[in-house]
Amino acid sequence: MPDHVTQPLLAGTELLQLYPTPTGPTQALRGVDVQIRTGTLTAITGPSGSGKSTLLAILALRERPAGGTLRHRGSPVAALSRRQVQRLRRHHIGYIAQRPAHGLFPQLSARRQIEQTAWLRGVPVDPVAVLADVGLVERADALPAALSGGEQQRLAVAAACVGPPDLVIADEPTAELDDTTADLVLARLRRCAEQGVAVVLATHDARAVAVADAVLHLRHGVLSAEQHGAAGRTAAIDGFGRVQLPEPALALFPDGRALVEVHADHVRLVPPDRPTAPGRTADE
Amino acid sequence: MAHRLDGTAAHGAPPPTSPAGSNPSRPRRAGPRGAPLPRSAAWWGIRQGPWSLLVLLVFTVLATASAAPPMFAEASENAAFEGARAAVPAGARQSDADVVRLTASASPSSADQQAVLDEIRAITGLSAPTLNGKSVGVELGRSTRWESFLAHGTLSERARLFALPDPAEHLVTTAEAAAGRSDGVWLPVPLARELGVEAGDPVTFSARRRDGDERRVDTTVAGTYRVAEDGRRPLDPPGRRDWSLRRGELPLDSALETLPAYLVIGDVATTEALADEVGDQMLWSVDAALAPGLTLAQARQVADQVDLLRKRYVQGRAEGEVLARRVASGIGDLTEQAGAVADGARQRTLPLEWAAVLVALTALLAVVAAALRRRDVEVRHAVGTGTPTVLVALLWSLEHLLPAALGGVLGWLCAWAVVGQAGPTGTVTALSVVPGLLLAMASSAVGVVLVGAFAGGVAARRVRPAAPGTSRRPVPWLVLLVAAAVTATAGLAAADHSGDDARSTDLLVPLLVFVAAGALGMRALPWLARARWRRPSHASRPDARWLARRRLAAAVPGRAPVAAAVTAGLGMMLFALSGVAATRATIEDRVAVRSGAETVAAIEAAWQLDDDPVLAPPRPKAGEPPQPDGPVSGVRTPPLPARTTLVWRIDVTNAATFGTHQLLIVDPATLVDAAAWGHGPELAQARRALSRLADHDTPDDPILGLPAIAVGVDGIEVDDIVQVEGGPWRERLRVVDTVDVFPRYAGEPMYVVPAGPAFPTFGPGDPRLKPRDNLATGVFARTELWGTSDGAVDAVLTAHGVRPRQLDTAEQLRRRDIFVAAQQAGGYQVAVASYLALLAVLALCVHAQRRAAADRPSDLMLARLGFGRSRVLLSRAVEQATLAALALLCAVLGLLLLTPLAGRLLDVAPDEAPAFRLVVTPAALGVTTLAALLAAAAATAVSVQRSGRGEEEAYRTDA
Repeated sequence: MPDHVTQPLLAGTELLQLYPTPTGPTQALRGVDVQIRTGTLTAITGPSGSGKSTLLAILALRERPAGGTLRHRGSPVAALSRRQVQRLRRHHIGYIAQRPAHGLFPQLSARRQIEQTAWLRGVPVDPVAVLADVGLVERADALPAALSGGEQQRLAVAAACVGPPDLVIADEPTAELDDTTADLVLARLRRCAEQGVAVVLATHDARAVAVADAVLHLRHGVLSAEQHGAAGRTAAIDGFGRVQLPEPALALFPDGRALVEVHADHVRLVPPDRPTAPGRTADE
Repeated sequence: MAHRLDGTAAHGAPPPTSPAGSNPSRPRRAGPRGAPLPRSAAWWGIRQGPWSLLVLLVFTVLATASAAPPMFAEASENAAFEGARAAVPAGARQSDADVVRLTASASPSSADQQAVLDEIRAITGLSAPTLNGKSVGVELGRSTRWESFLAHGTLSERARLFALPDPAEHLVTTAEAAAGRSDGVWLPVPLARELGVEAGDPVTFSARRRDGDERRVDTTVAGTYRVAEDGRRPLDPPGRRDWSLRRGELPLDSALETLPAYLVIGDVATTEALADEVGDQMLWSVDAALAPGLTLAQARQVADQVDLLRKRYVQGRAEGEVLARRVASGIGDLTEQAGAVADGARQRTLPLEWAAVLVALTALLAVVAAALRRRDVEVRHAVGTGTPTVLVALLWSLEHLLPAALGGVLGWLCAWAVVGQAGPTGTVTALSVVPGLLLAMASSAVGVVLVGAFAGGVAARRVRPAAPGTSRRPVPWLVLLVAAAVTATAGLAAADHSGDDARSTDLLVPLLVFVAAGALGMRALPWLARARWRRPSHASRPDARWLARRRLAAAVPGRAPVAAAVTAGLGMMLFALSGVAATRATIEDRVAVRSGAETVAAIEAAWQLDDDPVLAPPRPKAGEPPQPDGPVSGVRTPPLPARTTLVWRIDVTNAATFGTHQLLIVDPATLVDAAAWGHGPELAQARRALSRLADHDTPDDPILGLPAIAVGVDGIEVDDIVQVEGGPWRERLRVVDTVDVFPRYAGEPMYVVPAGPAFPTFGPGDPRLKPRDNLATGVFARTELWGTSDGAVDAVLTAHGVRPRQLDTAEQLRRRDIFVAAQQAGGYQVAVASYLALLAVLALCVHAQRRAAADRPSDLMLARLGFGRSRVLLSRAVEQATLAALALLCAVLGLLLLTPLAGRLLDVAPDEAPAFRLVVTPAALGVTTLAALLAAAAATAVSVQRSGRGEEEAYRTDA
């Protein structure tokens, strides 16, 4: 198979990020492995402070991880020169900030925002068509300051998707939007993914999770689960061998104890009062 | 261990090839209309409301600082040149005046002088040349005793010819001029009276030789003209000094050679015809004056052309010429003199000018840094979208282009106005105005480039920022700054500056010292505030000072640069004001030391002022016993009115070292009021020494030696005995005090002795005795009458009918070039210092605005938690006042550090005594304190204005 099929667009291995605090460095990411493939919409969920924005900033090449490796199409990003990083951002990455105004140039009208992004990416564009796609044709000549929050976010999404780039990263794009606008934004991102763009978004919004092809759940800087659509669920095992069970599974173990059955190719957890399968049984 | 997750698309869709391809270096296709950001950047710079105004202000300040120096230099040069022209004495020679006299004896015919006239006409900047000729028959015919006369009837008088193109134009004629007679001659009124002629009368001009040969020619009196005080020289018409300048060039009386001759003045044709008839010879000259209102630069061009002419004439001097061609002009000397004055003024202003430009650049960068912080989101977005760093730099440069251009023009106009109002009185012309504009625009352009580079640098750092947790070693700015200040200061202290201008690094020393002092002070501020804060306090509710101390104790980003800027502004103001005051004081002291008193008249001897002078005893004839050595009976110092005194100066030699010294014999009781004592400590010490000398001013002093003050004598201590002698007089001096300077001290070692015990030691050689003949007796003493004013001295001299040999005034010394330069620079120094103080105020205001905006939420919380809005605002006032006070303190400390070195920067005559001493004057400290108070008040007002009242306002993030 060709490389672009087998190789993820971005692959992070054991990504680690630290932030200095008065009481010493705090780990925002504690060794996250992640792969982002083209044509998928990946949602990253997790409580506030779990490291979602940090992971997005690293994937968007806006932050450098304190540890681990990030590869773009197999090439380590750390080995890229400053100019190559700028080119990557310019041509291949679109970024949508949580606060809409943070993703727009304040001195450019809506039309010019689109033109500017197109100019940077070196692609021809019909700004009217792009704006029409997000329902902003009438506001084409308005400066960002004259747009509402929803309009600003739609404009930011439209600008980020101009090209389109290989990767669009959105940090809680629907956090400050009403339902209608949020739907519009998610639809646009979904279309973007369908155009072959890898879309990664951090969100608390169930609607965003619903349209995602993959959902990564971050908890305390660790990817605790990955859900592939409605199918199986993947859980993270930390350095001590602990694993966090999904909420529904916890109901099976009301007394907080489980029998762990280790098989050749899998491990089975069963309540202690349930008969064990043939083979070795061990208490955890 | 990390759990590997695979994000393969759940839809199973094959990962499509990116439309953009996978090559990061994909070629860019520019849009049809170019990039919108650069297109909008130019206008965005002036559409940011108050921020645009701030940027405009900073560029204006930068351009003002850059444009002012050349204009100040030209104004200073022109003022000095105008002063030098005005100071040319009426009786100056042509070689000392602002005129040109070209004498070319190419031919005795006036018709052949046209080439010379053309030479002068070719020099731009000179008035229309005047051809004039004077009789040189007497000088050329000395061997035959050639003389010329003017006769009427039987009366005749020696007179000599002088030719001018239009005599009536150049003479002050009397009313009875003959109308319409152009072929006659003009006679001086005394000559006309002696001959009994008036306008229209016939006269005979004749020339006689010793051998009896006489040639005569008849002519007519065209009119008469008035003469100057010497009774011979034509009087200058009002506002002109043609004849005064010709004083040394006019034909002399053939019999009384120290007197100018009576001049028979006619037009060129008439005079030449008369000279031909009697065999006289004329020496033709061309005179021209420097046109009025010329600038120094124009005068320099004239001087250069005159000098070229001089060289050409010297090289072209023909063999065998009786009279050499000659070019006499003082224009070159005057321009050099004015240039020296202007250089002195520039020397004084250079440190401030450098400081002004550097502080303005720093202010610009500070504003850009604040703008970058304010627009951080925008910069991050630009970097995040991959906008090239170069483009970010270009965009910021473009944004600042219009404010820079506008600020450049405004700054240039401001500089023009500042130099016009606060600078020297000289004219400012296009010669400096145009370079000023160019410098203003160049500095603005540099500012624009710096803005772009700064923004580009910030953007570049954000392209690949270090991981947040990575420890970065901060640049030790404070250490670097202090090291730079120490190095530059040590360089200034160690350098030998004799005769050289201050080096550029030296000029930065004051600024570096103040900046470093401010930064160090701010580094200590949290520690000081915390030390106070830790003190146990009573249990009352925290007050505004408590909050202010807590905030001052916290490390606030950006406060150190602001403190450095405020300290630099206040410090440079203090430095300038103290420097101006110290310069004035030093000038007064040096004038006092040099002149001795406000007016000093050198007279022949003291007895001239005595109504009843005592005659010197008769010389003993051969065989008679010598005169007794004791004092002559009745000899005395003439009584003088208050505030005048007599001083005797004698050259003596030290018997031990053979060194030459001045001996000043003074009357301590009257000298103390008559002499000038300046304002400095050196002369104050001299005054105290004089009072000590007064204690010994009695003839009965013990015979250990004459009590004396040693002035500027190395290796002499109190109670030392020095043997001195002057001619036949020999005496021992007992040093009662040593000082560095004393009135009338000229740099040579000097002893001052009291008249009371000194004069009896002279015996019959007492210089106060009236001599019986012209033969020199005793020691040669120069007698001077000192007074506190011209009037006081003049009254004494007039009362006794004494004409002084020389009259020196302190005012003449105050007009010395370096002193004039110092005075010229004063106003401008203060203006530049005020501008720096204004920057200090602005810096504190900007800081206050930023802090108030950043602390809005906490201020609101404090206000709502019962602290009270008024207390919050009061704490802001305390905070700003503390910052301003600390900056002022650092400025004063910095100035104290600079004090020993200030002379190297501000003193253009470091070899002169007394030494330049920079002190913090109360006035300077008061004005600077006012500036600090103003800064604190303005910053508090800004804080109050920016401190939000409401919830929404408090949490706004656009500050």
